[in-house]
Amino acid sequence: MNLPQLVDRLKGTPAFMENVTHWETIPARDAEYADFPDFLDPRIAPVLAGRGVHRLYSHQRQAIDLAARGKDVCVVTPTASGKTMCYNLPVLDSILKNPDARALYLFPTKALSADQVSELYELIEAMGVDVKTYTYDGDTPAAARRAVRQAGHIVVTNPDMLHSGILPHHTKWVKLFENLRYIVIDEIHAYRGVFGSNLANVLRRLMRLCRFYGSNPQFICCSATIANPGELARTLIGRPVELVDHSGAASGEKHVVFYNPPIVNRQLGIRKSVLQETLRIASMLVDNDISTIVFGKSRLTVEVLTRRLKERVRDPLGNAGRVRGYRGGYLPTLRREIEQGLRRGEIRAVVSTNALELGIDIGQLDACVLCGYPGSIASTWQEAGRAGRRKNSSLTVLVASSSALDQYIVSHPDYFFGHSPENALVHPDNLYVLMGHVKCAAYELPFEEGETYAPGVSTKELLDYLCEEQILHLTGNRYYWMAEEFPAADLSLRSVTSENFLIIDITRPEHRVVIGEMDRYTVPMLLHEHAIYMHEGQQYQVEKLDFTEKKAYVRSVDVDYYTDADLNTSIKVIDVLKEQPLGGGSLAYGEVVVTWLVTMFKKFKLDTQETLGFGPVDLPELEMPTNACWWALDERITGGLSMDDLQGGMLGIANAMRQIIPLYLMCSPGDICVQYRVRDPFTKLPTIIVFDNYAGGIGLSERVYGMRSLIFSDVHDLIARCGCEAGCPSCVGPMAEVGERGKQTALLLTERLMQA
Amino acid sequence: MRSLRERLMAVSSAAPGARSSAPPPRKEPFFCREHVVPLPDLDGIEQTTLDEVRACDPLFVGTAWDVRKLLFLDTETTGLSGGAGTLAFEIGVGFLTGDGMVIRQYVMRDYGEEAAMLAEIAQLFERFDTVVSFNGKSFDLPLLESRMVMNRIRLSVTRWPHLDLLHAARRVYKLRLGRCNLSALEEAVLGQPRGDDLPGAQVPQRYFDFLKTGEFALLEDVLRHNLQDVRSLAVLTAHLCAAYRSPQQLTHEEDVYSVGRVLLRGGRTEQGRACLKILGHSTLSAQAHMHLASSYKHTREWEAAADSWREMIARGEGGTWPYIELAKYYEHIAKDIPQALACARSALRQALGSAPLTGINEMQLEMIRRRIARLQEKQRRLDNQSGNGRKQS
Repeated sequence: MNLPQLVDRLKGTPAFMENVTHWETIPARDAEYADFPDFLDPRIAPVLAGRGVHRLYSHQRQAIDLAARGKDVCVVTPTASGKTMCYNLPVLDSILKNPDARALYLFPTKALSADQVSELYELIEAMGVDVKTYTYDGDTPAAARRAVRQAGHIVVTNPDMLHSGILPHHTKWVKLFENLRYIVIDEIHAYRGVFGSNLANVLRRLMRLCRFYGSNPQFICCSATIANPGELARTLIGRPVELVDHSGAASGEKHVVFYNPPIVNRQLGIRKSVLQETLRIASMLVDNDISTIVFGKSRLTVEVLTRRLKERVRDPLGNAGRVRGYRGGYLPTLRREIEQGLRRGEIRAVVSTNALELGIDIGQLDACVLCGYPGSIASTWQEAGRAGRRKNSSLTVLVASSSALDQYIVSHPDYFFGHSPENALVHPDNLYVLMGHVKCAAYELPFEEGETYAPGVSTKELLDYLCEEQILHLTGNRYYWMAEEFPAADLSLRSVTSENFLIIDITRPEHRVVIGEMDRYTVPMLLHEHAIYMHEGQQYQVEKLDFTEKKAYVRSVDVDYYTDADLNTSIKVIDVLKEQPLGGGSLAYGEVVVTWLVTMFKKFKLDTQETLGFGPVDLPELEMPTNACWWALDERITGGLSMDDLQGGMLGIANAMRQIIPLYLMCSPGDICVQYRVRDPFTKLPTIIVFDNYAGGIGLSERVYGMRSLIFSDVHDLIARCGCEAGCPSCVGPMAEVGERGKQTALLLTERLMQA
Repeated sequence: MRSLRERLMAVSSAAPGARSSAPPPRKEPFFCREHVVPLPDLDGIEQTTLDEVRACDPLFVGTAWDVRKLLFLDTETTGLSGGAGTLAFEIGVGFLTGDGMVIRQYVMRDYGEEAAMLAEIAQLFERFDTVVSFNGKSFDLPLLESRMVMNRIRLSVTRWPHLDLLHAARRVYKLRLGRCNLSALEEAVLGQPRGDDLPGAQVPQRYFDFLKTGEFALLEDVLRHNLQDVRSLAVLTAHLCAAYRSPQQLTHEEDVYSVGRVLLRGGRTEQGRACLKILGHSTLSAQAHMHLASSYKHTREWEAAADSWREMIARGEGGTWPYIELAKYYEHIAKDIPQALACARSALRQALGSAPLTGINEMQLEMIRRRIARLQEKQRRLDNQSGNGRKQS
């Protein structure tokens, strides 16, 4: 069966349709074209025509026109709509007209830059012109760096390299800075949270240096569909932008199906496993040889799904190469191989984490299955966009898990289809982020008195503080760097990517192989000793974890269980920044340090997920400074409740808040953490704590603080409206967790809090 | 030599002492102090020639070497990271005049004085055409150029003819000294240990402390250290050139050996061989003979090469190497298969004989055995061809 036949067949299958809560059909759209503008260098159009491009899409033309008029541009278009042309053409045009002109391309990851630049190379090659495009990142050999600095017309790099390798050494890049004409930032939707706040500051530093060298480059940004691309671009680059958000590219018919696994125990509100239902739907697609991508939310989900799907397609010789896994920890060469296999159509199904959400070129597939709601409308559309060619129809199935957020989404399709995708939150003036970059900026170029680094923030105060710390020295009217240190080395733009651990397969001791890597925050969860680590569907047991050498030694095994570690989180208050009394306690906001410690792990049977046993984990704890807000509840709220009831009620509220807050703050559930303490060591009272899950904080808990007690009316609403008897995964959590009166207590507490 | 050191110390420390460390008056745009080192104390810098400099540094790009156009340069900086936030707060330069070497030390007493100081340096550069430094190629000059950019002064000095003594000295003294920093060289090569010198790592903090307190005395140690460095640049240049001019006068055989090898590598074959020949009876004779033989082999002076191999065998040097080289020579050049076979067999004996001492190198043994087998096969074929002749005799 081909896809349209399969779609018809599904529509006529009651066993499938009775679990479908919504079926959205998005009609096909024809392309809108525009001619090449007259002002374009005459060498460009013929080369494009030779590659089958005779006209531009309307949005490409619009972007090129705006750039030509000197505007900063942000292009928002779906996958496969030819966005690279929106920046490659203005850049090439400017260099062809003025060989001294320079451009800087920023991609969020190395993998992406390699991928996107190949297209540019081909274009330049076909034109036979002397436009030198170089990638400058950690992999660039020292010998080649000089040539890049001197002669590169287009320098392709990532924010991390710009931050620590280019800006602090700007005097070696005089040619680039003096002649910088365009700054291209692709995938700007990837720059949210701390990473985005850091990028905004790196760009402030970049523009500061451009002013010093007398250039004033224009920005061309590209974004996937999010609610606020214009606002995000403006915050990142610190200037107003012209938005190009009407795609002229053609698209085929799209079917988006919400699928809710059937309930197997109504009383407990337990549904069939999202994993098994995803597997069933994916298997059906693979059996029909429909090219499919399956998105799992965690590495573990991806590996379990890959393994099961591989079993399904294994041929008599045991080959299952048609199905592959894809996620962050795989080595670059393996990832390139999988990407190529997908483009060539040799790989028919790929199971991936959101690593493939970004614009890595894997060609277009026919179907997409989401194992659980990806957490945001934007991510869902981005992942769904992986399916759908320009002419043919495509299918996306969202299989809901039993979490409240998933349940809410599949039972409220209007919410999903009616709402615009989420805001990308960036908080560049976060003090923690700001201070690090002001130091870097001062190192790069002395601040002058009266200079403004960030609008709305007193630059003088920051600089005077650094003078007191004897890092800067004010003399004449300038603040000079007065320390031996190299500040960019102490500041990582991403909170967790540095310090990766290597995963080494020692199954054959004489032939040790590095099979992957992992960031240090995930290591205690997945690579503790005796953990079952899954890689491309193969199971490995961790034999030894060397924390100081950052290496994990694993051995190939074949067992019928997987492991999952228990994480203990503790929170220490460092400073209370804001506080207000409530009619029953207080609400506060401030700086905290969160500490994680993995103490034990559990074994689960692969098919039934029953617990088989547990073991200890002995690893050092990890710390993260961040921001938090917390409610301390006194007698007026908690009066008349037993300790057990209070415990169940607070757990219920925390569970519900974890579901509610992302909907209101428009962030991903992973961006915040909600914890409760029946007796908090700091407030000495029962306390509910919400903190930003990013080092340094990104302003989320501050906004929760701003909502005050209002949030509890929504929590109350969610719990009260839920149809379960005494708690289910969709509101306060299952009864087994919160206790018999958990739901009742949670309702009582939230009522009191609403009035407080 | 010691008297000079004492005099230098007297010059650099007595003067500020007399001024009771009061900060110099702030009227000048920056601080500058001048010293003169008499020519006789520079160990013959004026006799150095372009040819010797090219021997020191085969990559030297200069087409002339006029000692009066040399600028000796050494800076003191606020750090080692080499980024835009690192400054050269002190720049020491030296140049030769009729009487000797003038050493000028420029100091910015505050960041605000940097521009004026750099402008002066840029002007000074115009009077010269070649830089002499110690590690200046990768540190001092790029840093100076970076500071010029920051102060909008266009001066491109990184492409100037530049004798970087770090590399030149390493080539000659590394074998003997191991570490080759400037103070180690001064002590071992120039015979002048630095007694109470300020460790380089403390220099940036000294400057920051000076900025905070305004106590110029804090910088006196730094200036003394730098003065010594600049002076040593000239003395070291003289010594290195002299080493290449007349290696036979070097006192240490390691230095003779190193100079010989540099000369050979630089294509100065005869001079290089002369050095190695001096070492024929020294502790380095094995290596010297080996390079000598290889040099003859390279120029196809086969008799001389064979003599060297035989000499090595006679002296028990080089393990199996001279036997194998001789075997190759007899086989391919002299076409004497029996001799070649004899040499190869000796090599095997040698390898097995030394095995208890050095352990068995299986790969080496295997290669020797193969060589013997091949030579035996060749011998058999030759015997067959000339079989009749032999029987008759």
